[in-house]
Amino acid sequence: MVNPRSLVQTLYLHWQVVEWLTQRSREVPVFEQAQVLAIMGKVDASKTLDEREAALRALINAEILLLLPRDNLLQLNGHVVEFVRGLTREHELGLSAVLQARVQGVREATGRLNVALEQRDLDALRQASALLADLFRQISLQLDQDRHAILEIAEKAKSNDSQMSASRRYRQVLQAYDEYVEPMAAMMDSGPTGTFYRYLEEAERSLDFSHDILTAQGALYTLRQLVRQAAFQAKELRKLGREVLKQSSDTLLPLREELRQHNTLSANISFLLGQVRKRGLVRTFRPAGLPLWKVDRPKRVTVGDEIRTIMSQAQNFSVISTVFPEEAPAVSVDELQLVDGAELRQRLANCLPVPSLLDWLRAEYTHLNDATLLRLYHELIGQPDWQIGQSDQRHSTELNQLNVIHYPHGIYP
Amino acid sequence: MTKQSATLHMGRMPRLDELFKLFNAGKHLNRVAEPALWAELEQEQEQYQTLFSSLGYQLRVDARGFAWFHFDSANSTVNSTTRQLALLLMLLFELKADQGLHLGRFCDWILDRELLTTLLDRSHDLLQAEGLDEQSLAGLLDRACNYGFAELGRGGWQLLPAVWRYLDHFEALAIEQLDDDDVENGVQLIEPAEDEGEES
Repeated sequence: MVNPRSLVQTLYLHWQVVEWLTQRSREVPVFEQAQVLAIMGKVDASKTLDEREAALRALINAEILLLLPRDNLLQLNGHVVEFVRGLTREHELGLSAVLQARVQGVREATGRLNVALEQRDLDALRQASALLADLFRQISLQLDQDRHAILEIAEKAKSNDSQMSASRRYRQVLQAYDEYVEPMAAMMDSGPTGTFYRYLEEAERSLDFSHDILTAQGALYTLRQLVRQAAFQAKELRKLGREVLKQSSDTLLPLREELRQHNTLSANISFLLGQVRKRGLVRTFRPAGLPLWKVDRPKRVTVGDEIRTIMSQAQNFSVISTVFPEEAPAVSVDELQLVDGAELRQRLANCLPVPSLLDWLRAEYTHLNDATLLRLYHELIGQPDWQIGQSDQRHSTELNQLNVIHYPHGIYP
Repeated sequence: MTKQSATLHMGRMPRLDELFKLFNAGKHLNRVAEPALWAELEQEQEQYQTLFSSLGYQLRVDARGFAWFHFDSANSTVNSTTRQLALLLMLLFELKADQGLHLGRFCDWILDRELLTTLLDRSHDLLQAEGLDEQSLAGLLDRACNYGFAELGRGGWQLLPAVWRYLDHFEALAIEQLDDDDVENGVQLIEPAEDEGEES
């Protein structure tokens, strides 16, 4: 017998593989080793063959996978299958006979409870209460599992190819309805065949009565708590039974009556709802692909109080007249003197060296006015063609109206 | 940014401001809900698409009568809202299919509080897992109105053609997942050969 802790730990380490195997086990009861290794490769493609074989050995050692003696085939441990199916909602539809048998068990346990009460046998009372609590828990679990199994059957039928004939598509539905829903409805009926509510009611009454007796007489707290809890479970179970029956009928009846509008869209929607039921909404719908939107908040622009100042100034604006200045006389043509630049350059080149350019210009061009002379002087010393040197002696040159004191520029060959 | 060589005639887009405000608020424009704006958009569709594209927005127009600014990602609030709306629409469409109604005529359905109660009864577990009760389902439909998937009328909400975006996605996703399942079924036959390949 394997250590439960190591089984659970191995289950945790290899959960995805076990989940896959559990799903496959509905069609294939046993697996070859190669198939298991292939599934491991599908779950995690990065694992090497050695790692996968080590994982397989771990699963076998933990008795999650059982090695069948004859063919070397592998089968999932029954406890593991039930547990994983319970968590992943991959149930098979239970037999209505099993449910009926359990409900019968409730009746018998109630009888034992009543006998124990009459005989004031607290031990027998405890055992009967514990048995009832256990039966209620099993029935509740079965109802929940069956509800999911029926939803799965309906989803499969709805998501089947719309080209398939209705009778083929709904074969399982009709089977489920005839073999499960109808017997369950009969059991939960208020008529003579309606054992479910009747037995539960009797059990509940007996448990309530026991609790009152124990409280009046005095009994261990744990016993009273057990009885009270069992009574509470009986009440809940009646409600659950009603809900499950209603949901199962509502799910299967439209299919059975072929009322359903079946096409590709409805088939796809049913398939996706099945995925949501098993895996959750977030895992089924990644954001990519779904309609998305962005809301851009409009930016508000406001003005400060300075605008008020500007507005009042504008309101109180008064025209101010400005006097334009007098028109200055235009420069007369006479003041612009024509100079033959080529001739001047030629004459200057012939006279080199010229120690003071300004004096030379004054001497050679006496007819030119001061402004023209100074302009020519600055133009000539700015030209790169001449070899220009500047004296470090201050010199005064007298022009027509000006006396210029400067460090004279000279032009040399 | 690419250079736009087309000429934009701003004078031919008199309702540009209204359209931009609508799309920028995350809303879908539906022909049946806003026929005048839709006509304006349809008339100068190319101009609008060019203009919005140069501003960095992707305007998409569907021939079934709706248009929107397309985004490939959004914040977590929007992701959550869109998922919940997807769930609500799936449950609604499944109910209507079970009632024998034609799913393509979803714009004709009136969604009232009674219908929401029916959905809650039918799919209590699924909705409870998402924290959705009748009040929050009503709130979700109100938000759907803000984004152009529904409008509020007398008697309740009515879905708008923009809901086709969800239906298209449902079909695509279902096909993708069914294809994955088929591939997985086939893997058991192929993989032993692949294993040999890996070994070598």
